[in-house]
Amino acid sequence: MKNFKIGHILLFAGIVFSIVSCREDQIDLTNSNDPIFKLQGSFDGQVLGLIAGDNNAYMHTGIDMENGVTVYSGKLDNGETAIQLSIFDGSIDQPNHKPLTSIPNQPIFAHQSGAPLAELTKNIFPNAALINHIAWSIDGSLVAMDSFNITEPGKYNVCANVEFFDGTSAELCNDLIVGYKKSANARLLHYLNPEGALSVWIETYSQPINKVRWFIDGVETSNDLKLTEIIDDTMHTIMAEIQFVNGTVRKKSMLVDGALSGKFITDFTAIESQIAALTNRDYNLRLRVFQDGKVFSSVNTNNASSEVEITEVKYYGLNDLGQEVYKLTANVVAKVAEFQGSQAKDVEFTTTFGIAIEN
Amino acid sequence: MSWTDEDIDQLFKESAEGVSFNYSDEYWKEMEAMLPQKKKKDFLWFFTAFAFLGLVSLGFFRSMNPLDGNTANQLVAADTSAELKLQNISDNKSKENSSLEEIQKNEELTETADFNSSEKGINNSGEVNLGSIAEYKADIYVMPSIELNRDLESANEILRSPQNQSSNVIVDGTNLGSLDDWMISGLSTRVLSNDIDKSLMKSSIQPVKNKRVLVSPYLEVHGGLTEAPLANSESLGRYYGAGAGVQINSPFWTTTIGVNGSVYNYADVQLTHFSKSYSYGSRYTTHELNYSSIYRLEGVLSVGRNFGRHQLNIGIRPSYILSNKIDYVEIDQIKDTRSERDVVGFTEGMNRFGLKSTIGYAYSFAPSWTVGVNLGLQMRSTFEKDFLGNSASKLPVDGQIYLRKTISFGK
Repeated sequence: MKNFKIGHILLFAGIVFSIVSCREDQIDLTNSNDPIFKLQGSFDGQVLGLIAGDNNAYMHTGIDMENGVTVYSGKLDNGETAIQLSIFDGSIDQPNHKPLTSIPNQPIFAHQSGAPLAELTKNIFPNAALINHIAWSIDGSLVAMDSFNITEPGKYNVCANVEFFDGTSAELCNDLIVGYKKSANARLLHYLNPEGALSVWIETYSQPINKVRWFIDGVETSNDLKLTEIIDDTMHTIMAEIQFVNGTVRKKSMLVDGALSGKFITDFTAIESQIAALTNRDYNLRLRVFQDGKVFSSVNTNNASSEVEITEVKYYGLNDLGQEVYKLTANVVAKVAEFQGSQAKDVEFTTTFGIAIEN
Repeated sequence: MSWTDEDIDQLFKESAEGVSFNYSDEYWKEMEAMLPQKKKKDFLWFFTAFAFLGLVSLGFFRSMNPLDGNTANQLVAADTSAELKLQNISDNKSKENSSLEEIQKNEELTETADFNSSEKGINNSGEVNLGSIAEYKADIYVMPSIELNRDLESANEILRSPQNQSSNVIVDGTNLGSLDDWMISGLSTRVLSNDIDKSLMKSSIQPVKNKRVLVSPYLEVHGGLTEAPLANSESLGRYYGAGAGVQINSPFWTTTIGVNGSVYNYADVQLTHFSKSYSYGSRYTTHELNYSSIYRLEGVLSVGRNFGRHQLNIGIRPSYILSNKIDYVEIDQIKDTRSERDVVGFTEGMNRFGLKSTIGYAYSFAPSWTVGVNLGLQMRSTFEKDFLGNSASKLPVDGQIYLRKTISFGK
């Protein structure tokens, strides 16, 4: 009996031992490693060195929107000095483009000259004589009456609130892409006869059309290349969503006066091509240096002779926002200026930089 | 005084020509009264216990004898078994007595009544067949040089009294002379080997070696103190556990094979790791691993030399770390945060297989109970070298005390 009890004790001890040995917790004893993101070079003749993780330096990454265009950027900042590298998106009229694979190995610096990229006036409308005023709004904000110049590249939603000669008004909105490459483009033209028979067609510039969806007052009406409808004598908004063969998608709108009183508003996106930009901003680079409370940017000076060489692009991981971060190894020689016309400063460095990019 | 062959021949002759002893019932009754009563039910137990103690004693005294093992063995065998020998003789006499009684009933008793000479023990001529003595006890054999002790003497008196005046010693049918010359006290101290044909003795009475091996399972509990496996640890660790196994016992040696499960508890076995890992920023972390418990499975392999109830043993103990319990503290130096948690089974950086050499002493304080102590030296570092960081490993010495019970499954 004693043996039996001792046997039970041993059996119990064995079970306890087994249970204990089955559990295996883990400790993340991360080993020390070399810095990942770093920058070594000079700015305005002064040594510039930043290592993410040392001296409070941190590699911030993020995806921002500037003027309706996505900007992929990273900022290595130690609180006193910061270097920001940004890559502007490109092919913005193509919804399914791949920014990562489109970035060239030797991107160029974006430049902003200050010259207008698009001029918004009532003269762009053929019935300007019947228009008293136009209130221009960009991205929901009223920016000017009658005339406004767009100087920065971007993709803007521009609305023209037109007051006609008889005091009536109407509003038409369109997306304008300025300073970026248009992979395809077109404009709407129309004809309305006295019987109310409306014809709207697309004048293309380069690429063939794959598909068109016609909307009258927000209601999809037709998929034909040419819209033909009988309309009444009120104002009607005609919108065409044009899908080009090369993947470009554009939306074009116009306002039709069913009463044939001349109070129509034509598709004013034609101004996108009115002023030819010297260089488009697609996948251009922007360098900013933050120091002593000042911001020096590459867009404020001419960097035509500057060089940027990206030697490696490698996926690193996700940032705190869940965005994919790529590690760019690059050699940069550029000029930056605090503002347009100010003295440019030389900046030169070799870096392994983190930039969040959509893939 | 030395005996010549002629003297011995003369003795044999006289004895042979002498009158055989006169049988008397009184003698046998007297002897019978002196013999043990009927066997009790648990005679076997008493015998076994007695034999065990005898064996232990044999082992002890044998080890104390300065003579060579063979001679000592002979001496001890004769010394300690003398009583048994006569017991056997008496038993035979008793058996024969009952046979004689039957003969008495059926036949007319004659003084020359002759027993079958092949019967072991004393025949009706008072002759003692030594071969029978040797065979009764497996580990007992008689050599001429043996000095019979007092027990043998007193027993001899029983045999000697009425009829042994003419008793002869016969070995395998060869009459070696009078029993007096062999067993009577006055001659018992004499060395006969010089005068007896040794070749006859050796060829006729061969030592029977005891090859008996007992295998006994056991259970044990143990505990002890141990040095910590790190050089910078100051306090001793404690450990306890239980085990099971088998003991393979021969008269002088005990081999132990078993397995122990032990829990080692430490107070200050702490490893500290520092790491600076870079990413978008960096993380400078201090990891404090305080090994509060280590669970080991230990094999027991030892060989012990028995000295009666005492035993000295040496052995090795291969071990395997099953698991552990760690009081883990993580300090983020940059965020200045501290988190603590218990971690079980984190064996990274540990040498899970270990080996310990032991030396021990055991004392059997009761038939199936043993208490013992072991001194052990761990021969392999508990932690891998690369995992130690700034700490240094140490091969700890430990002391253990155990209580062991051998198990018998029935008789």
